[in-house]
Amino acid sequence: MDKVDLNIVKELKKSAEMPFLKIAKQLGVSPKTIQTRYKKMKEKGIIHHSTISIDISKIGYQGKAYLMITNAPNQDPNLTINALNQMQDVFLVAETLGEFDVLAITLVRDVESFAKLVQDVKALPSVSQINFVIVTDKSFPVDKSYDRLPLKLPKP
Amino acid sequence: MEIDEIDIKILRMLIKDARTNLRAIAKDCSLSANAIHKRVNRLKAAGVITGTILFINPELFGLKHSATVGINLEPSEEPKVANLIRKYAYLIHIDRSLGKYDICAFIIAKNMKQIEMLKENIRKHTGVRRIAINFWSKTYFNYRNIGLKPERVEPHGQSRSKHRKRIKEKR
Repeated sequence: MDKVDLNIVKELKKSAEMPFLKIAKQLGVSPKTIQTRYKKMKEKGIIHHSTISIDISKIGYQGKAYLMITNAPNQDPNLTINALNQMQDVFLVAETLGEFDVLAITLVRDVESFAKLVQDVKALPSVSQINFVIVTDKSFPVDKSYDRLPLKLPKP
Repeated sequence: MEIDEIDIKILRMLIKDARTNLRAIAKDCSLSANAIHKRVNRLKAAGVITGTILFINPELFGLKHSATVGINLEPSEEPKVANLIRKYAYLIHIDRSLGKYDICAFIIAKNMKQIEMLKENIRKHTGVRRIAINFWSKTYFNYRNIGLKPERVEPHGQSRSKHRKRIKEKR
């Protein structure tokens, strides 16, 4: 990774849909360079993916909830992850270290559907405990401030 | 405005990849690229699509630790604690929450030292009863799980620019 790569990432963080031609002009390199480097950064996992942000209140959701799950001992923790990865409205699952083992972020349509989700997670044999918080945040998938992270090149 | 099946198809493809070629979407919907372009603009103007996000591997950019911070505290101390978090780490999002914690924050930090300082200083802050930090290791994105169905977007869902325009007109 070099300065050009970093600048491409910075431009895409301003707008992930910006045409390569425009980025090329901005950075004074050829569009082909941008294209090749973008592809490479995706292959290497430097860029994970791009997505649009959505106001979830406009698509029928009231908020979000964070499920904090503790795995049961002597059970395969992957069972929890795999099950959560399939559940309706659960759009992000993270393995965590700390007070609990898994964090799942879900959109909340209404109380009934959320209660059902919690019941379904509780019913998993690999889950010993579930806590949750509900937030009224309407941003999907994350707040735009994620794109304003101060990025730096790693020291060689 | 109404969100119909075609809008849902467009949203799904753009959620999967914000750089999806509009022509590819057009082909998939048997519509012209121009028609898709108009629909995307309409979704933006109605405030359904609010922007884009580029997910990167923060570790490769000198940001080693991603974590969730849950805090129980006196409500009056919320703004001060939020500023305290900002002082030691990069605060992506903070929310007042219902349930286990009173506020819930997502942070990214350069190193462990920053997180230790953050934890110590928040713990010491008046009105804070409890702080719990959970570090993220592996993350899975499952956007396909989101249930999209035809929807009516309420009139108050007009874009900010339109709203501003209206306010200007009133003046």
